[in-house]
Amino acid sequence: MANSSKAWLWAVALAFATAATVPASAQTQVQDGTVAAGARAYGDLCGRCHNPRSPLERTDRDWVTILNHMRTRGNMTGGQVRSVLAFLQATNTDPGQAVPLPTGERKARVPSTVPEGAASTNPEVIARGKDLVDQKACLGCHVVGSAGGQVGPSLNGVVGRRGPTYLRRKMADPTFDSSTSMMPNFGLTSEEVEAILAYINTFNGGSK
Amino acid sequence: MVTSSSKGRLLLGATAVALLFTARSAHAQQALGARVVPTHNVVLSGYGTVGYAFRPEGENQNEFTASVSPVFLYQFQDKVLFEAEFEFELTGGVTETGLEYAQIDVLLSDNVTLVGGKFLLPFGVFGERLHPTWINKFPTAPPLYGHHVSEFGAEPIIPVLSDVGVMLRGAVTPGPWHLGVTGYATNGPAGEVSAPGDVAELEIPASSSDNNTDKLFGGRIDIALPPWAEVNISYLNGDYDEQNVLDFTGWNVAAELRRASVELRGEYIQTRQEVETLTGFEVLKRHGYYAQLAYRWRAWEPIVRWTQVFDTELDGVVQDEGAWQAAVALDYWFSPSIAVMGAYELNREQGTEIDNDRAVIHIAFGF
Repeated sequence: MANSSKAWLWAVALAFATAATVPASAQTQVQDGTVAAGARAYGDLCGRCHNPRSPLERTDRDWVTILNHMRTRGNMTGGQVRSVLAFLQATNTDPGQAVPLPTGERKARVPSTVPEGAASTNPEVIARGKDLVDQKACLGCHVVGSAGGQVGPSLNGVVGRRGPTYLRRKMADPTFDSSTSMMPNFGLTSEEVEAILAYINTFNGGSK
Repeated sequence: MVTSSSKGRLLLGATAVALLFTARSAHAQQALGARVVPTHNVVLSGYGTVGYAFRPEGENQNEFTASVSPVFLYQFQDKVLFEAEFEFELTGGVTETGLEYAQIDVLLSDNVTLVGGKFLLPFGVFGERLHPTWINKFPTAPPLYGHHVSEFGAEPIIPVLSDVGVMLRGAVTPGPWHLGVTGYATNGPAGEVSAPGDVAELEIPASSSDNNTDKLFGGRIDIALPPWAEVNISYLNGDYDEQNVLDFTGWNVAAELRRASVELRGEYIQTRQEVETLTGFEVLKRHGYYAQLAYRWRAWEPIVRWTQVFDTELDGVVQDEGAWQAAVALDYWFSPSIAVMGAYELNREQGTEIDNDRAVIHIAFGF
């Protein structure tokens, strides 16, 4: 017992010492505080223990406090907290709101019906979709082309697998088919939905 | 036996290294740079349950249950956080109250946090991270832990631990890895030895007093590859008697694997309690494990859990028979933090015919 006690305490000391010797550059490579890094950390770290909560559930102020609480509970680094905050605050479309939007108001943003038909092949619409995919940090969770995270399903070929109508509904209301979906509701307009759909359709095998 | 002074020196050494690290990386404690960073902020969070438990045989149980655990958070800038969790539970017509934790977190650097007060001990992961009812996917805790006690046949190996003391936490993220280390010193366990050969019933109370001069020292090492896998190794050790002679030691190995909608987790716990007899010292050994497999399909989540506590041994002689529990549950998630959870437990104490099977259903909500 004596030996195991000493070994354990030395292991703790050694682990702290190891932490001290990790170059700062190695720590910042993956925690750059960007929305994309935050999207990935949100799924990877929050999802380790519980269903990630919707960014709309709390105000931007409250997310700072809650993330510091989770920093201790989940042994997160400051860099990871900055990343997740960047993501939550960027996707919290109601900053300063004391309480989440009433259900009725939230639903009012979601069209009761979505357009049918194929994705647009207009180059301008596709270019707009690419910008939106970058802005919304979709690659934090999804693979698009050859890059992206593993939290959500790959978007390569997803138009063929799921169909345009499903994807329009999913982007308009991520929880419509899964109440625990960790995909935030970005409050996308119909035009934005069509643009993103057009862009990811270019990663749909031969249907470019 | 490691003496208090040698443990203290080692902990001080670890603390000194951590503080050195803190000073070295002080520049890395950057402003949060978020869109909104409050100077002062108060947040009320928490969780609760409303449920019903039914036991067809054995000691009768047929009752509605309710509990709520508010969590209070107060933050000053991005440097200090005070957090406390209260517990209110209706049991047998009486409202029981408790203070799960009340702690101050000082964010020393991006990688190191100093904690003081009453905190959940990082021994395994269930107690510290998974015990809130909406996070724990089962309506009951794994019966290794004495938390919201189940009808398991054997005594829990260890309670969900919280204690009063100081803790240092560190984390780094080299590449895709997430490495964490935690060390702490608390008041520790207490037990009264009335006569040689008696096995003291240990309490690990979160008490602001201590029955001896020895402290409980412990820690945990976390090795994770998010989101796929994590392994946690925990250890604690401290004297429990007034004479600083008898040791209590615990080990915990926890592991988790995740792939898409499938989650497999489990923990192994072993405790060793020194007992003084007429002829010398002997060791009371208790150990057991649980494993839990969950699969998420849309809003539904079926779960199975197996728990086993082995025979209790004192110097190789069986003192108490072991027990096992096989349990199944089905959750339906209305939102990421609200679910109705139904479970059925088969509880069997080895060597007896006692049937403590139980059905539990509750709505768990996090807010």
